[in-house]
Amino acid sequence: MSLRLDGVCVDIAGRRIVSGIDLTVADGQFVGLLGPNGSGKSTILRAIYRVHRPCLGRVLVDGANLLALKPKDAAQRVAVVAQESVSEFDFTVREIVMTGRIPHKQAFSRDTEADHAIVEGAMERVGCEHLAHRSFNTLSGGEKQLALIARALAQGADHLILDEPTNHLDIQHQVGIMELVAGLGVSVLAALHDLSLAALFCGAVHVLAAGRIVAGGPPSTVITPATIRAAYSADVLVIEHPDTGTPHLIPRRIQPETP
Amino acid sequence: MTPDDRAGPSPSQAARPLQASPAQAAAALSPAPAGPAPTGRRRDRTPLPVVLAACGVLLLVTMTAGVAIGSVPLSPAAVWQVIAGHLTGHPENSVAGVIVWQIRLPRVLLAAVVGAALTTAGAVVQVMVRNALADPFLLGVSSGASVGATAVLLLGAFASLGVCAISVGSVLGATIAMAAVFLVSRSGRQLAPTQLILCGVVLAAMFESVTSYLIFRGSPQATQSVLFWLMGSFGLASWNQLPIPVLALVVVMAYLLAQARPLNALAMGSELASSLGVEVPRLRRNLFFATSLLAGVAVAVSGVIGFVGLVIPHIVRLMVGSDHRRVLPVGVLFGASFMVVGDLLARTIVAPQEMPIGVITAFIGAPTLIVLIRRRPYAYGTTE
Repeated sequence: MSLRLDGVCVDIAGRRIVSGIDLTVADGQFVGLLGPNGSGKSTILRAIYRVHRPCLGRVLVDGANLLALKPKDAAQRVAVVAQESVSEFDFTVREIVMTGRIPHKQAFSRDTEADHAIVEGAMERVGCEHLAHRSFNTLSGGEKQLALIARALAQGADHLILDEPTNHLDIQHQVGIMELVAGLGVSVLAALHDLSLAALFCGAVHVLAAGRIVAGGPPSTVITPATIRAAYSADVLVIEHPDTGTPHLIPRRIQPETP
Repeated sequence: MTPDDRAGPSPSQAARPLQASPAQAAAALSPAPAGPAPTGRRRDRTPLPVVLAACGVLLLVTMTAGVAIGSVPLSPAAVWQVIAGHLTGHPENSVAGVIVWQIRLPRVLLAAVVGAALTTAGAVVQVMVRNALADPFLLGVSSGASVGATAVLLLGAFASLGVCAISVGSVLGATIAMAAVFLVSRSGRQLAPTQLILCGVVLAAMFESVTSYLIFRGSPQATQSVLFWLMGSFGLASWNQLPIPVLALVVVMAYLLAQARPLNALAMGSELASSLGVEVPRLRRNLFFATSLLAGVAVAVSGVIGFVGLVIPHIVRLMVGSDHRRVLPVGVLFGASFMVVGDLLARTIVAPQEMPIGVITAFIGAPTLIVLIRRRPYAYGTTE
C-alpha cells in the first residue's frame, strides 16, 4: 500500500505546470504537499486521480502503473476528497456517500445490504451519521468535508488524496479533520496551506515552488525560515510547538511597526 | 516523540483498508443512533415503486382523459372498450372506434412519448453541462430542425418525399446543427460544459436568424404553417409516426439507466466522477449523442415544444431528489403525463381551433420555473 510518483511532469495547454516530481507515500504515512498558490499542488494531485495525464513519468500505486489500470480498479485503490463541492443539484449526504460505491458496482446492479452497511459504517466513522438525510448543499463547510471523507471511506481504497481539506474551516474543524484523516490508518497525500498544521500531523512534507519540489522530508528539517523564504518569498519566524516540538510558523510584518 | 516517529505506520494502523467492515457498521448501528430513523434508512425519500406506481396511475388517467375528451365526448369505459377490442383482435367498427383508434389514441401516445423524450433529454443535458437552466434544445437540435423544416415548408425542399418531407428536413437540419455544436464546443478531446453552453446558445441564434430570413422571404400563407410548426403540435399524429420515437426512447433509456450511477457522479462534479473511475470524456460524448437523438426525434414528429425539457426535470427532482435511478424513470412517466395534459388543453381551450402546444407548455412552464428559481438558490456558472 504505497503511492509513488516517479519523475512526473504535467503539461496543461502546452505549458509545463509541474516537472520532475518524485515523492513517495509509504504504507499508512500522512504526507503533506506544501507550496504557494499556483505552485502546482492541485495539478500533482489531479495527475494521481486521473484528471491530468502526466506527459512524463509514472504514478505507481502498490507498484502498479496507475494509468495502466482500468479506471474502476484505480478508483478502488485511490480515493479523493477534492476542493470542488456539489452546488447545482440537491443530493442528501447519504446519496453523496453512496457514490463511493460506484467503482465497485456494475451497471443495473442494486445497492446491496453490504453497500448500505459500508455507507453506514463510513458515516459512523467520521461522525456524520446524524447528517445522513440532510441536503448536502445546506451543510456547513466542516460538515461537507466530513461527508466527503465518509464518501472516500465508502470507496474502500487504501490511498487517500486530499486537496486542501481544511480550507475555510474554523480551528476546531481544522484540527478535527486532520486528526480524523491521520487516524484512518491509510496512506494519505494532502495538499495543505497551513504549514504549522501540516507540521503537527504529517510524517513527511514536500515543498513545491514553481512546479518543482524544492525540499522534502520530516517537517522539522523542511519547515525552516530559509525554505519558507525560498518557496513563498515570505519572512517568518519558526518556533517549536510546546506540545510536540514540531515547527510552528509565526508570520512577521513586512513593514516594521511604527512606534 | 520526534516527528520522524510518526512518519512510519504504527503496526495497528498498517494494512487497514479504508473502509468500515459491514460487521463494524452493524455493531455501530445497534445502540440506535440519536437520529430519527433507527431502522428505516431512507425516511426522507418515498420508496421508488410507490412513486412509480403513482406516476403510472397519473399517466393512465391523463391518457384516458386525453382520448375521452374532445369534440365528440366519450366515456372512459367506451375508450377502454375500443382499446381492449383492438388488443384482443376484435376491433369494433363504430364511430367511437374510429375516433379512438385512428385519431385520438395515436395522438395521445405520441404526446406521451415526446413528453418522456424531452424530459429525459432535459434532465441529462442539465447534468452534462452542470447547469440547471439548460434544456435539450441547447444542443442546437431545435434551431437546426427549424431551419430544415422552414426550408421544406417555404422553399419546397424534398417535395418528392411528400408528407415525410418536414420530418426529413428537420432531422437533417438538426443533425447538421448538432454536429456544428459538437465540433465547436470540443476542447482537446473533451466536451467542455461552459463551451458547450456558449456554443449552443450562439449557434442557435445563428440558425434562428436563417429561419427568420426564410420566413421574411416566404409567402404569408406558408409563413403561418411555419409558425405553427415552430411552436409545436401533435395535430398530424398517426400510428406510423410512433415506432421511431418509441425505439429511440427505449434504447436511450436503457443506456441511461445503465449509466445512472456515473450520471450521479457527474452531477456532483466531473473531477469527482473521474476519481470514482468514470470515464468522463466518453460519458459526456455518449450523453451528447443520446440526448440529441431524443430531442431530434421529438422535434421531427412534433416541432419545437419548449419548456418541457427545462421545467419537468426540476419538478421531478423536487419530488424524488437528484438520484438518476429515480429521476429518469419517474421523469418518463411524469413528462409523458404533462405533455398529454398540455396537448389536451391545446386542442380544447379554443376548440374547434387548435393552439400550438408550445403556447401551453410555455404558459405553464415559465411561471413554474420562476417559482422554482425563487424558491431554490440556483448557482450560475459554477466552477468545474
